[in-house]
Amino acid sequence: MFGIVIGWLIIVGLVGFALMAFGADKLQIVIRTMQSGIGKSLGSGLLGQLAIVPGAVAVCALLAATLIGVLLIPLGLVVFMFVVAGIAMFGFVAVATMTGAALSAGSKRDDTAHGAMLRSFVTGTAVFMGMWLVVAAFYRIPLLGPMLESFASAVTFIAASTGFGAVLLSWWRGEFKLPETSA
Amino acid sequence: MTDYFSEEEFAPIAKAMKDLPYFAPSPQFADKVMAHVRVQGAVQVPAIADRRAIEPQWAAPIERRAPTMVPQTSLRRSIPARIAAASLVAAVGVTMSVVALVTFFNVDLFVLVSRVFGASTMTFLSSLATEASTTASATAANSAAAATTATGMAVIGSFAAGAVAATAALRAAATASRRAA
Repeated sequence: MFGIVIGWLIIVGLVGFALMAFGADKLQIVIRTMQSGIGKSLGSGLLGQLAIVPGAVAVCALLAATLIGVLLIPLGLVVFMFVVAGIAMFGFVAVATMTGAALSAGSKRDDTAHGAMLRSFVTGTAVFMGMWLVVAAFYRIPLLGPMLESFASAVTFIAASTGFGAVLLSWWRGEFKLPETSA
Repeated sequence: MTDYFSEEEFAPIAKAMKDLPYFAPSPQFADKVMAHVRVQGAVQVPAIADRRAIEPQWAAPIERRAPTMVPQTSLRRSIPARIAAASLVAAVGVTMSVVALVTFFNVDLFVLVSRVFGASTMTFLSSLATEASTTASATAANSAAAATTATGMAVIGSFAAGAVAATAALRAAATASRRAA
């Protein structure tokens, strides 16, 4: 269990650093979408999860319309799953960054906006992964272990769904295409 | 000279030539000669120091023109365009390869596709759907069975509490981070 948590911590950290290095403005857009309404993002995320299977079927149907596409259906499904997983990871990084920003709101020790974002991301990731480390520590205790795991699963599910929906909502509103107006 | 003398005859002559004194004009010889030359009607050229005293101080500034602004066309293509172009090239390449193979081996294209890829694709999709439905039904059955026990109820309650707490916490975090920004 500890190994799985550490593995996920490394994956989330690497993806988060990459996002901050190459798409910090996009991350800020998603965070702003969540700040404007958690309920909308969560609802969009749940709807988006319901649409994953129909989306996979649609990918198959669209690819099957052409002769070459028939050959590419397995590859298309793999690409679709990677896209869905990437959106979910992007959303989770955004949720972690927003959570960290709320927890470190009083700290004014960062000179740059990117520094503040990095501090927020590390703080938020530490909170979520720390929760799973607690679960791993109490994993073998009969009643407490499953309850903690269920609680952490629910928190992670809600966070990932909210981030997933915020990414979809931002994309649906066309906010990724708009030029950044504020620094 | 060796054409006219033998080696033995030319040796003392060469030695005597080496002993002759070397005469050459000094480096200032040409200037000293020309200093005595006078040309009638020639105008005296002022020395450099004198020329600096009499030449005007102002000189026309060098005109530096700003480069003309020519509208530039952005040749940087977007990532979706690159992906689309790569997909198009890959599709054309695959198509040409398949057509070449079919032409070479004289095989019907539709028969080839259905036999080679159609069966495997349908098998893959059906196995994927079967696995997904099996997992979903097993999870539902386990949840329903667990709901009848005290432990199951506690786990389900923890999940519900976690969901509610996470939603409330995220709402508070959104408000706090918005105010902090």
